[in-house]
Amino acid sequence: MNLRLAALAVRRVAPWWVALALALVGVLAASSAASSLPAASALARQGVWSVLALLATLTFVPRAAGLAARFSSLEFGWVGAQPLSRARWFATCLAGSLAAALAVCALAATLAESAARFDGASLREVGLAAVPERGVLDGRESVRWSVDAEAGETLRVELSCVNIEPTAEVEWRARRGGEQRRVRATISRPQALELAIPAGVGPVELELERTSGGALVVLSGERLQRLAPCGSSRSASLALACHALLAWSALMALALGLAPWIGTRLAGALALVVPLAAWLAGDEFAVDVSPTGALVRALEVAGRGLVPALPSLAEVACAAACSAVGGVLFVRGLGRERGREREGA
Amino acid sequence: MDPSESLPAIDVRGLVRSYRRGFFARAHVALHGLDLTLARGECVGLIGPNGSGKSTLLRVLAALDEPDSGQVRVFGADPDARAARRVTGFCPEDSPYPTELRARDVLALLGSLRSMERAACERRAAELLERVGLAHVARERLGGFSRGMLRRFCIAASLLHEPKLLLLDEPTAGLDAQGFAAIESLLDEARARGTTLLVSSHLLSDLHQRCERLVALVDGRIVAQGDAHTLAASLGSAARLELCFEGLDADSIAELRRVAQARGARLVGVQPAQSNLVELYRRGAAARRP
Repeated sequence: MNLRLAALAVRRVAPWWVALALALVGVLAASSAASSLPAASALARQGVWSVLALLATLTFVPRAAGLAARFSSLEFGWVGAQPLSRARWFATCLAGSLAAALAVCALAATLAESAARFDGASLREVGLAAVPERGVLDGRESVRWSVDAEAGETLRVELSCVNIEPTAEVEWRARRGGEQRRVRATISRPQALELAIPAGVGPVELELERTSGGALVVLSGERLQRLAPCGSSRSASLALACHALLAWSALMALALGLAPWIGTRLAGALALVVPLAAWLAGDEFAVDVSPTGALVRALEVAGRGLVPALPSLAEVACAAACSAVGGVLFVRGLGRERGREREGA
Repeated sequence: MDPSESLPAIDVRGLVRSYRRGFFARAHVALHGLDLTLARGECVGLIGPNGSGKSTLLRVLAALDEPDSGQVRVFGADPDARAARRVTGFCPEDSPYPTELRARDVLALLGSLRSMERAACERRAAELLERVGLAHVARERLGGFSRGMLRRFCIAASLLHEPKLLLLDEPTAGLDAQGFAAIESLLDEARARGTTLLVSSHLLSDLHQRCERLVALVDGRIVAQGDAHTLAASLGSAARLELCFEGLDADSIAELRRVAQARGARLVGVQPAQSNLVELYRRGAAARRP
């Protein structure tokens, strides 16, 4: 790692005026959303992180492309003659770009946590489980399914109702061994039910039943969240920072790799559009695995007052694969510069 | 002795490099099967008109261009190999360095990329900036430099790591007399250290005093090579010579003109040497000092 080259990368990806603009926008977002109520605190945290993550993505990714494009064209006269290997050159540029991203994470975490003044205990998402395909409760029969979960965890399911009649009563039961837990609720709008897991080992049998009322109850979430107790809701910012760094490392690596081939603008646009398309496609696997999809999901989770799960192995592997692809493209792109058709001799 | 020690500094055989000027255009061949060898410590000047292939040859040797065919070796290695890039210094015709950085920061960056020890790099950078007359602007950004200042900076940058092979593309273009003198003295020192020099210029006067051999390139082919006298002799009676005198008055010049005519030659012109300007600058600077 060459620190001076990394510093040049930081300087080019996040020049002082970009850093200042991000700080100002972040301060404005934090001051307008500050609250000490639990739900409002979660929304404040989500708001500050969303604004800064979006702005940093839209700024840093094209600027990372510009960094690689400059090295491979205007400045190739000094870059190409250096003895540093091109793979190390890429790694240093990516590290410099990520250092800028890390600074934004620190800024976002500081501002988000200053705006979210509630710092009580919370629940951390530790995993997801399937929900039954038949997700509508019409009162004729209950919905049953089973999941694997640890004792001490809480399950969370999202329900909504179709208002033929204004409300419906539901009961959600969890059974393991001889022990059973249940929770009852009146559903009149989209809301979540949480149920503590009974002690014991083995799969947990779950049953969801509409006990009264005329409204149809719908399982609106695509999956069941497994939650574990967490000392402070402030750890949400740490999880968000991890997701953001992974997403930025994948996007900036792709931008660095594409720029020597297709130029700054196209590379920046392509690096932004590809994950966006994967996310818009709505495919569950793509959202889970792609670092940008996982970041958006983590922001949603944080907005509900929960602490998002740390990045999964699949997400880390996807970011590493994107970085590797970007690295190969960058190395070959700089090598290709030597064979480029050049005007004049 | 290391067997690689006996290898020439530069060994080029059958080098071809072509460019296409537009997607549908025919390829323009910049270098046609060039053969060139430079011994270690040799100083060779590349001369030729614009577009003759001088810059292309230097870029190929500096690993910035890839040959279409032929063999290129720098101290026995491919120019793109790290071992070759480590010992080569290249001064391109136009400055490619980051314009947003200060002069001394660019040199520090280059030194770190070449794994130079920090204190040694700082010392060398300060010395080079002083020698090329840029010490007073060491903390200024390259973006604010004039063309001549950038030229001096590029030469300083190419000498930072004391390369064993120095490739200079039009090193004196845009330089004033003082800069010219500073560069000359730096190149003399490099030569004294045993550095191999390949210098391109379209001005023979830049090269003939320093270079043991001149290589004339025209349309990507070597049309003549040898020392300045051999090249001049090949032109026969059309050859011109430049003599440099000190202490001649108008009468002596008239006498010279008569002698030349008597020998069937012609004194073409009389003009003050460029070194006069350097002396003028030096006296001016000395007069300003308290």
